[in-house]
Amino acid sequence: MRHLTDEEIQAYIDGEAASRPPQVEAHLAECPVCSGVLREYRRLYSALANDRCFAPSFLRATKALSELRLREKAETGWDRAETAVATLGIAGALAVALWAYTALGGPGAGLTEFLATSRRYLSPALESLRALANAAGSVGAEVGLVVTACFVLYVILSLDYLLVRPSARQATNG
Amino acid sequence: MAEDRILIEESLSGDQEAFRSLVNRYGGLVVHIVHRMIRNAADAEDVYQDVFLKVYQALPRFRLESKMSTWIATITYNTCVNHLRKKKEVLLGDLTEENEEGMRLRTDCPSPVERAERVDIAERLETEIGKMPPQFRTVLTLFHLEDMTYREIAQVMNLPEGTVKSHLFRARKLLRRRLAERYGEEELVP
Repeated sequence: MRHLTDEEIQAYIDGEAASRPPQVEAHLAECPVCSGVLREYRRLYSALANDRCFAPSFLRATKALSELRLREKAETGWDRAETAVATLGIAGALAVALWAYTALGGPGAGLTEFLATSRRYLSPALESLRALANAAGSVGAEVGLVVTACFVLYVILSLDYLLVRPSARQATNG
Repeated sequence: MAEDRILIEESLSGDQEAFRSLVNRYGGLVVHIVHRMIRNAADAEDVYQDVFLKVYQALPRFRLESKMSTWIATITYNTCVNHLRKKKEVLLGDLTEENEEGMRLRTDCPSPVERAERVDIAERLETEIGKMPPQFRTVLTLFHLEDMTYREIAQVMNLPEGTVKSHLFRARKLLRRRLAERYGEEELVP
């Protein structure tokens, strides 16, 4: 009598349809050697599905996760710093615009000229910022910070343009 | 699947708790794979962190075309493989006949001491699995602990399905033989 191979017995347990022909069932019912091997495999399968030995690893994973949380917090703080700098930059730009609106002529004849000048000055800068922001989106937070720094620099230059040099411009126009 | 989608969307919108729920849901899967592939405890901690970070960073690119478990298992497996390569550990070793014969000769009869030491079968099994090359350990883990299909395991490990089946069959055959020869059939009790 030919005994079943290990492969046939494993396939039998795995429940593959082709490996459960009636003759295999009959052989297992009458052959003590093969039914013994089948029992050993069933016990092995049961042990392989047991994860009690993983308890220490779960503890290590929990520890690793707690450290991961700290790193995420640091990243969140970085993101918040970026947002704060960008907000300050925008607030600064708005303040300068408001100051220009009221102090450099305000509404009236100078407004149209002021808006046209601002548009000319702002458009290329905004386009550049938009392009940089798109690139930054795919590169990472570091580039985002560089873009923010560029924006802050832009605000400083705006202040310089509107506060320090108006007299020079007037002299040139005049 | 629907719950995964909600958790992913919430995570992508910045909800840290949603991401934590994802980690809790699939943490067991990550632990099983890392535990079986990385034997050094300190290294395993680093790998856990790497895996979780990679999942977090790659989440925007995940499309729910495949199962979340398969995707996370793939990241985990690849992270472990990279770690083992850096450590220059053998990844693609084989269960050679020579090894099998050597084990049989060495352990043909369990000693009285071994029989007296009735260590839990799961621990014995873990010891024997630890002697196998990482690929065999992973196949056993994904099939028996994660209930993955041959196709899913093949996808995770980037192997042909036939190789997965062959690895499984040979690993189980060797484990049964080693345990029976080393500890005696009557001790193969779950």
